[in-house]
Amino acid sequence: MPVYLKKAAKSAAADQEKTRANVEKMLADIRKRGESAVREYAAAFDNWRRDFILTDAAIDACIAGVPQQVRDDIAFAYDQVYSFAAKQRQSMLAFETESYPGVTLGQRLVPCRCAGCYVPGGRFAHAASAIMSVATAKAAGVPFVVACSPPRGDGINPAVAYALKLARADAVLALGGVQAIAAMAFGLFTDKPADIIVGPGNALVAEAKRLLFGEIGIDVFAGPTESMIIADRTADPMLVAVDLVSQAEHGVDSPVWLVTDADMLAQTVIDIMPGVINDLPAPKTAAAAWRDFGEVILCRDREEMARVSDEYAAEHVQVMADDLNWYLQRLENYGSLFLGEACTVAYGDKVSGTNHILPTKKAGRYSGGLNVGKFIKTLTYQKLTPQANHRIAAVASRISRVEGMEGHARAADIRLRRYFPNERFDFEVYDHRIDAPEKTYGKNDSQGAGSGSG
Amino acid sequence: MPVHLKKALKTPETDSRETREIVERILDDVQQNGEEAYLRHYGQKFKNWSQKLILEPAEIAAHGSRIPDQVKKDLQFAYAQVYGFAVKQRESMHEFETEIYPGVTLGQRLIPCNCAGCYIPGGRFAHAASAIMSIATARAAGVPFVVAVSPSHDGRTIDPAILYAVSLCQPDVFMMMGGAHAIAAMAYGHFTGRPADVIVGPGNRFVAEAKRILFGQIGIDVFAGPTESLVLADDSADPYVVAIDLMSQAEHGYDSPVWLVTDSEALAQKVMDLMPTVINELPDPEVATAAWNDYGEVVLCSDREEMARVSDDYAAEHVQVIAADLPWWLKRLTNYGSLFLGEGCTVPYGDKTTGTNHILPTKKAARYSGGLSVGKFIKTVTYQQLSKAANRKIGAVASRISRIEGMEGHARAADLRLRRYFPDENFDFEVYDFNAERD
Repeated sequence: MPVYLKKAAKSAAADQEKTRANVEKMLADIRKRGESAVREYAAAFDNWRRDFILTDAAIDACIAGVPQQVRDDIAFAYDQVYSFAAKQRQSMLAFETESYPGVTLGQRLVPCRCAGCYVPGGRFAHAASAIMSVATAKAAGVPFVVACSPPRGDGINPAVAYALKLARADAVLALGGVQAIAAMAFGLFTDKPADIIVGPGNALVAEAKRLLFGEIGIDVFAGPTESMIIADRTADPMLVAVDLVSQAEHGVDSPVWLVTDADMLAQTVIDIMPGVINDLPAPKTAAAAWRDFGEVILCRDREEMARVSDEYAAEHVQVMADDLNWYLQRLENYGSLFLGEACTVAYGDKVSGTNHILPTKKAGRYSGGLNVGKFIKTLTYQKLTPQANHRIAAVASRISRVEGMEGHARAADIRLRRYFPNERFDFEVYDHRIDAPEKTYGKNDSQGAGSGSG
Repeated sequence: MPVHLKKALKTPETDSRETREIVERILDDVQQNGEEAYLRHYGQKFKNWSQKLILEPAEIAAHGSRIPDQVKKDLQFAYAQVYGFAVKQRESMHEFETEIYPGVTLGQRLIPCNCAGCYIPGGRFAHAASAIMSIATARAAGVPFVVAVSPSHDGRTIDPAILYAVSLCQPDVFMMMGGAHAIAAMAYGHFTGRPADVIVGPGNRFVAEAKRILFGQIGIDVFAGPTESLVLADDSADPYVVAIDLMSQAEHGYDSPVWLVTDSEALAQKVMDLMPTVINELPDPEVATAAWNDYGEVVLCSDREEMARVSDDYAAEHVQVIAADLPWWLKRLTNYGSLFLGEGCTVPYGDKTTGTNHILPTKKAARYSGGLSVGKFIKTVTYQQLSKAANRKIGAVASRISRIEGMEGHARAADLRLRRYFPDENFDFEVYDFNAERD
């Protein structure tokens, strides 16, 4: 049995009812009153009274002061993320197969027509987030991408603006919060309602996405960032501590977890955590996160560590242990996996190329993170020769009748009667009494079907 | 502009508050009272309740074997087609590993969920095909543990055709349960000890609402509303076939919309003339009549481009094309759950037997999602591994971007590696010096 050397004092949640009620009210209001409601919210919450859509000139003005080194770094990150997304796109194939003589079944991969990407504001300037959502949508082939980021100064955060320009967002709005999600969902200001809305945000943004889900698609339910480190005796406690702190700074409710089979390592990490946190220029957030949500779990062996990790299904899982390949094969529930000391979660957050919009709160049990596939619909199609109807229609007709679906059966029956007018069937085939229309309507050219209603 | 020759009088009801309250009560009850809550519920619901929720494989096989041999063979055929197509879908998805930058290995893994729950509806029809659609697809995806449920009408039995289909698919556990209770039992792992990671399958409004409320905690396939069908037909289509096909999908329920979109006014008129007769010939025409009267639409367009646009706006669950130049339609249409090309295939073929899945997006969800496919049971996750040398570039960029974003803790996780792996390097940007600070 795993032993908790440190256990979370709090668990997330609370205030959910209130959040839902507030967000529901705002969504209903914006649904009813449209753009003027959005204008009022933006004025009240962000003191923004200008146009929401930033023109190319406005964006250029916004990014004028971004230093060259920052531009180069963002461009590098963009290249990595876009190329990985393009590889993901290549890993998905459309296909067509003849599943039975004369029965052609196919799968098409069709991108959504309009994606909305939310890029959060708040304590941090999420330049990397802008890349993660917009570049991935573009690699998926989405023709129109709307991006929203909360107003700042005369526009939006300059680094975010630069990233959005690089990633080729088709419309950029200085708009944040619930009003931004609603505007994208309803197509306000752009006249392009988003089919899917992605990107992280605060609790209100997450709730707005949750409430609109169904009407629109979403990426994942976004909760507070989570990180788990699996470490054995080979791990360096200082690296483990610094990495835990790096993820605890996300928010006061961001859990970081250490799972280990080395008692010594666990104790050392617990000892040095306060020092590492206090070294930060603004240690409050990480201190609260570690105090309230941090956990250290001691396991007997690596199998138990893997089991604990899969139960937590953490957004990020980092392994600093022997035999990385074993962990890669064994672990099943995570958003993204970081193998070995030489890669820390921050690399994936910012630059290495994998997406950082990932499942939290155990959603890793059923979903991966944002990837091109979230923007692509896996659709099926089919086509039959009249000859193939002999078997397929017969089976469909009989199963339909067993199920009690007479109408379904008759749609099969009419084809049996039409395509095989001289056949005597040894099962029930409805004899459609209405004659075929007196006038010959040309049959579908590719089918060359017979005629006569039997 | 498209002209509505017939327009729906009603739109399907959504988000009924009453439904939500009932379902929330049930979920609260089973969370508080556990398995006891189900026993109380079914004890009250059925006079002669068998007290049995889990059916053992032998019982399933015994009940299922009561159907005629021909139907057994038909269901076997349908199973083979659906499973075969799902396997092809699985083969169309690939894991990969790539060195995206020297020393930076990124990879994608495709991991099936651990436990899937499949809901097989009861109600007016015996949905034998639905059992196959969900369970066989979960199996093809590689899900190791599958729980299936289907409601009993009398608390004692289930239609033998459904049970035969279930016996073909071999779920790990099969329970005689329906409604929100069944969804709750799968989500919380009641009676099985295995909480489902993802729950799929069509059902009534309580089932749909339970899935909607639990979504987040569990994954789901699609939001299930009333079945929809749209027929795109030009003047080459046979109005009688069109009418029969519309009628076949209108029988699903009182609120099942069927839509005809055409650029041929003659065809449109003829179909509207034929519909009442075709429907009245059904032994039980009430449902289809109501569906056609209240929700049926006929939309006249000026050309095929406009027809395609209307179709994509409706984003119907099923789209059937009875028109010339099928490849044009295949390429042009973007919003649908499943597409049926040409007179030679009607929607019931996909519903029952050709092999594509019949659990499909409704209420315009086809704007953002396809139907049930192996991918809905599979997680696309990523991993990465770096050489120490690769940290020189990646660590530096990550550190600088983190500082621009105001994330000092993130920057330091990179900095520590830069200091460790390149101890003699003089960096021309800020790299936190841990030793200096800690002395």
